[in-house]
Amino acid sequence: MSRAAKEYKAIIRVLQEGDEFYSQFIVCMEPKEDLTRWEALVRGPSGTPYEGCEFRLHLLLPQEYPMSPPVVKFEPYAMPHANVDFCTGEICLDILTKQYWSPAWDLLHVVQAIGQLLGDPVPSSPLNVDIANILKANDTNSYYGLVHYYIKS
Amino acid sequence: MTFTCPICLDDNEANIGSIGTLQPCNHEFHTDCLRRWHSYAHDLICPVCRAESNSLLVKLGEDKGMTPIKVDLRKGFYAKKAVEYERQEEQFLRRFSNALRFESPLSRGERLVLIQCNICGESESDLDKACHNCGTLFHESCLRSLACEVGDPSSWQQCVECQDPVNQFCRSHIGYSNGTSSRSLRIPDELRRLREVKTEIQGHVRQVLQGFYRGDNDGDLRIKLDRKHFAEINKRAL
Repeated sequence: MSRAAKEYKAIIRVLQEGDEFYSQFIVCMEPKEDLTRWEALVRGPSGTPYEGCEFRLHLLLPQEYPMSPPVVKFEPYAMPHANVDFCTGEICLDILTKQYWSPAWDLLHVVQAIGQLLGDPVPSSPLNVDIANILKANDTNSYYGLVHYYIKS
Repeated sequence: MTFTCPICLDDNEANIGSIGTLQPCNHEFHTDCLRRWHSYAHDLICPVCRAESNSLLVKLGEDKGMTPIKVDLRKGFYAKKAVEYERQEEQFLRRFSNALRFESPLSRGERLVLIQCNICGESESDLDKACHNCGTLFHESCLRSLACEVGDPSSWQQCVECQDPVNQFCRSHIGYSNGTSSRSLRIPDELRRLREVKTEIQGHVRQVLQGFYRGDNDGDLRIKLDRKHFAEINKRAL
């Protein structure tokens, strides 16, 4: 049985049992068509401007997975975040690069790490310069305002 | 407790094959999975704990009681970036051809036996295996780790040169075959150099193979090893 199939079984188990750690953030996560394309619906973490909203993630497993990292993107034009390209949904996260990826991580770890990124944006390596600049200026009100403006519109 | 490989997540006892333990962090993986990862990774960091590893202890599935074999990850197959290969190859060929030009220290009819492990090139430490067919000498540990490296651990008792089974070796066996007593030569500098060259060739071949197996899709890491390279290497070696 392939590694992706094993992960599928584990994910079903973890999400059905309502694992406290993962189900805080992950609403659902399932493969589309085959086991190389996945979709996840994630919840904005509390204490962040994303609280109360849900976001869609697209995960693509390359043929060499788990030797190469999965390619993860947010739905385009849906995620205003300092480390996410708004137009494409591309995410800037070190563990998703070939250099830092480890084959011991699985899709749950990856999605969970993205949840952490929502709460702790890194303005020093931005893909969305407007939001990164507001964060650098420590302007919390504008940050919340801008994110809400994007999400609501 | 059952073993689950952190890379393929397989915990089926039947598929275990050989298990490798990274040193010094002691995390366990299927040897195949781990070696495959090392050919993708840019470094020797443990996938589980990110500790830098220096060697791998390989346990063989079919013989659980056996002492694990230690494979030195840095010497054996540390995957360097293939971009550096071509430059190294040039340097190597230059040095290699100089070192091979030397006068033989033997007079006519004299036979020379190099007491040297055919795999690691070491001559000082205890050699314990010999092929009685072609006379090649080995360390048992070298034979075992080579067999692991090529993915066929059970083949370790075969001579690398002629595939005959290897036997125990002791020093008194050398140089008596034609009835005359053997003269022990002081190893001349040229032979010492030849020995170094041999070790270098082996290191080089390993490196090149590593790059070859990598067979990857990043264009800049691909190693181009065509007929011309092989021909050149062979020409120099003759």
